[in-house]
Amino acid sequence: MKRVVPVLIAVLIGLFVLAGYVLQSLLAPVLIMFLNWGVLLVGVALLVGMGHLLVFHFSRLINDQEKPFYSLIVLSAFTLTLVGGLVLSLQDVFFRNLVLNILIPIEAGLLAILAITLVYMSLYLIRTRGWTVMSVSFLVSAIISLLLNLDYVPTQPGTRIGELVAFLRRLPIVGVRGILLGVALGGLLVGLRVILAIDRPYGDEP
Amino acid sequence: MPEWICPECGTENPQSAERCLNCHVIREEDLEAGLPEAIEPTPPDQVNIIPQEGQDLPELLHSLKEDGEKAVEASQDEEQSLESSSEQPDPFEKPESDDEIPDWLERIRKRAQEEGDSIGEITQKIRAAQESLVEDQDAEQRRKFETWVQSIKSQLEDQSGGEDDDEDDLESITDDTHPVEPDWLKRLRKAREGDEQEGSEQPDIQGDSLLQWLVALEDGDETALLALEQIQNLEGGVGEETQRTSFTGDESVSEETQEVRIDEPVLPSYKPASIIVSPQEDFHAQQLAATIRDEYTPIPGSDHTRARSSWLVRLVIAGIMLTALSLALFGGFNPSAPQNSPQPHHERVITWLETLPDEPAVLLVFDYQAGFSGEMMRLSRPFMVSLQEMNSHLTVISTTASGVLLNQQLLVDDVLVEDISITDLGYLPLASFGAFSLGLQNQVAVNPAFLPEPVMPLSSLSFDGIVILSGDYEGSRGWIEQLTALTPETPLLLLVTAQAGPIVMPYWESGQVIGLVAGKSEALVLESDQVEDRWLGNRWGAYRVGVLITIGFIVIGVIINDNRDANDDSHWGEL
Repeated sequence: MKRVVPVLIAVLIGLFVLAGYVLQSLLAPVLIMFLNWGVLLVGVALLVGMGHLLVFHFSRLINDQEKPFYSLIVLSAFTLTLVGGLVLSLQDVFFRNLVLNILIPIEAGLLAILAITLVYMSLYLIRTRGWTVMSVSFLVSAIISLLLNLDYVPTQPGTRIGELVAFLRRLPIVGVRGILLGVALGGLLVGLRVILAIDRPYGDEP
Repeated sequence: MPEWICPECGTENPQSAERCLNCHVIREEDLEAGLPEAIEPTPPDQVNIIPQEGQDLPELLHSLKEDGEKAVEASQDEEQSLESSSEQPDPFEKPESDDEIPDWLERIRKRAQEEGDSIGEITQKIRAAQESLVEDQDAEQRRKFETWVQSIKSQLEDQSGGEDDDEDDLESITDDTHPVEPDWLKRLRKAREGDEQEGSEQPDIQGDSLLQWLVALEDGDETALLALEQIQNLEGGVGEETQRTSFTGDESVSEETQEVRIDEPVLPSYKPASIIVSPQEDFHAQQLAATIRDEYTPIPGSDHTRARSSWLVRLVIAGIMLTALSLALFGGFNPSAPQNSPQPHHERVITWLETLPDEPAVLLVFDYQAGFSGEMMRLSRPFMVSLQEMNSHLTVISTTASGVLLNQQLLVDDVLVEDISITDLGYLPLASFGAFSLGLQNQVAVNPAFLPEPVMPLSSLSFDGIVILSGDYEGSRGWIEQLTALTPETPLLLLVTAQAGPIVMPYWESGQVIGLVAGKSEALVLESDQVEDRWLGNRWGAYRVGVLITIGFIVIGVIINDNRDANDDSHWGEL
């Protein structure tokens, strides 16, 4: 019984949602209700995750484990943000600037590090793989894409250069289309496996 | 307590008594010399097979030996007397030397020999008593001997069955019945070994060879075992043999204590199991060892000892980079208008903006992180300016946690966007859920009362267009897939970053999205076409310089690293 109930719920809801694409006028209210339940569950899951994070860092702070200073920073930032949002509200300019002026530079810096890391990894590719066809083609395509995005080469339609540039710009799209098709088919397959109770991501093994 | 028997009356007197308690005859040592020693009736439980501590074992053995010699002589005499007469050996036999025997004793013996019935009743009783004592003791000895032999037989059987139990059995035997091997036992074994070397293989069961026989029995000699069986089968002869052994004074059997010699069983020498390695296994083992050696062996090659670049060189390079970027960003070097004409997906966005009715209702979906806020602000600025000019009614919904703050930063703090009615629906997790619910609600005529607050206005609104501002392709993909399936009539536009542009381009080519602007380069095209202020141009120049520097790093790094060892991980991070 313990295994049957979760499987039954997952299968029924999956079939309802799938049928809702076809019978929208009939099943729309039920589907909306299910979706709203799902949204609420996701929100609660976020709260649970936040609580777990708080407990983890709090325990590290109390038990004087390794590097408790970082846990202190996390807890302080969380408390400050929570209290400020509750007191000042989201529409307050000071609160908005306080959060964004910290959040934006941090994330921008991480993105910059990501860019530098990607550049270095491209160099490391040559060091590890050597001058192979794949490594050379990868580097050449990366450099060409960067140059094309700089608009140094005119892409006037009707000209040979324009057509060549347009062709080179569309080459990545071909591969992306294949990736998107694969992602869509994979998602479809995963959904069917869940509906057919082959995969049970909710914790029970078949 | 040992006793002596009065020769006159036959009364048993304690050893300590000097006179007979009955007839008061003075005890003489000469009298005792010719008589066999009285056997002390030891109780059965006090029969000591093992010599006790404190006993003088060498003297005991010497006495056993002497008794054995005497027993041999006595046995010979007894045999002669038995041949001549059927009587039992007379304890009153004439001693070797006549001078030592008193006259009265001699007379008595002579009379006993001459007259058959000269032996008095007392003497007869004495003889009977002695015989009974001997028999009793013999029976007791026989019983203990049999028990001991049975144990030895079981040990021998265990030995023949499993060699591993020898030590345990020996220990059990020695622990239970016998103490640690004493010195006298060692000497006996040495003597036995000497006898064995001399070639005395046959165990002599009779007389003083009883010790040898016992040793042979321990060793599991078949003849000894057969003899043991014979002894056990003999009913009356057991007593005679034991009596004979007791009278003849066997070396191995003491009249007072019973000693059982136990030889240590010859334990088989432990031989460790030999490991048999086949040639194939040996070959594999050698291969494995060679592989392990090769892994730890330094790879010989050219020594690329490149000198590490000094900190000054790296500082200069960093300074050049920062200077170039700063000049590009703040130097006011506005690049010329892009040579490229708007792409088709750009033109569709422009066309849609131009065809919007007055005061259009547009839904803005903020689906990007704070790190992309700079690019998204510059990207969406021309679009927002156009909407501002139309007095649009904007409905804003965020599918990221920081989207609520970001949309306010874009729409409220930006002075370019003013006097626009904005309805903020808040944060909606799971973009696909929100898009699906939005698409379904457009199909529902009745608005259920239990809908959550942020979603309720959606059901009563119809949008002239939905604009998705996304930093990656996953969020925009969810909205596209749900809305194009449920509400295909509502136009969908994408304002995405440069990294998401190529990935979402197929959605435009398939017709699911009516327009697409990806990155600053395409936004610049719109800016040149829509607005006069080249606000984006300065940033675009700095962006180009940064990208050129990145390309230079890649090219130079590839050329430099070509001369390095590819396996040298110590150079990681030195760039």
